[in-house]
Amino acid sequence: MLPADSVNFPPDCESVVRALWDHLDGETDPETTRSIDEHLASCEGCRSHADFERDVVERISALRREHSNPDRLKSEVLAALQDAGLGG
Amino acid sequence: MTDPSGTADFERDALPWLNDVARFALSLTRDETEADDLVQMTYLNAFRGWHTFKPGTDVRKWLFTICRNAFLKSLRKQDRLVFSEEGDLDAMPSVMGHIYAERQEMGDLLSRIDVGPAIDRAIRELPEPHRSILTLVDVEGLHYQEAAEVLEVPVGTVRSRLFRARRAVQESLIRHAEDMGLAGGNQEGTDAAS
Repeated sequence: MLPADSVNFPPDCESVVRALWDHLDGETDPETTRSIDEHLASCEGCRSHADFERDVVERISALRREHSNPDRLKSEVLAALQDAGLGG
Repeated sequence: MTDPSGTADFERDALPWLNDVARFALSLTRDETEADDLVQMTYLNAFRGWHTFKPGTDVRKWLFTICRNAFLKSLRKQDRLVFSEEGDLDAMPSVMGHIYAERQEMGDLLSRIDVGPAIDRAIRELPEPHRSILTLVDVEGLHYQEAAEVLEVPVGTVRSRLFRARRAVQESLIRHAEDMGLAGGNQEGTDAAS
């Protein structure tokens, strides 16, 4: 959790930018979260910045790929484990 | 019947996380064949080291740690391991200012171009430990503290590495946009193009 004294109260643009990723990741305490949200609601520049940062992180998250054939992989892993003594 | 080696516990507690480990391996390697080998190595190492696992702790995070260590080992073997210098986190505000200056155009660009391949390439090019931390937090959704436990580093280190990784991806996106002629870059570049 980001230390509460990392953000000025009331927060200015610089401290909001410094804490922005922590904030977007849910790593700020409730009081800091509320203060940053209030600042973002009233500051178009920081809000636009936050939207951009959030968008990039969401697009990184969207690259999450599941295995195309998990059943085959599981069979292969189980076979290797059995060779190593699993269930033996 | 006793089970001194704990193989039944291993089967019950570790195997259900196979899909999560596969996804993590896929995010690290960006290649399914390499990921398959990595998953297999992870489970073999985990099985051999099962006696070191502390019951009641998080098996998934323990497997991620083993997977990541196996990944680093495979990179070393192939002489592909590139570690990033840590640098100074105090440099963050100026870099953020740079990103901020670019953002006005980039915000629109993200909705106009398919940035998926560019992000994928940017992650592939990330040096360690940045690729691992970005994968753990942004792809696997771990909190900073959880990622710190997987990587066995302080949470402040997770924060600074994550921010550098994201910054590198953002800068890669800006370069990608500039290459496509969609971002202005600096004024000289604009003048030269006109």
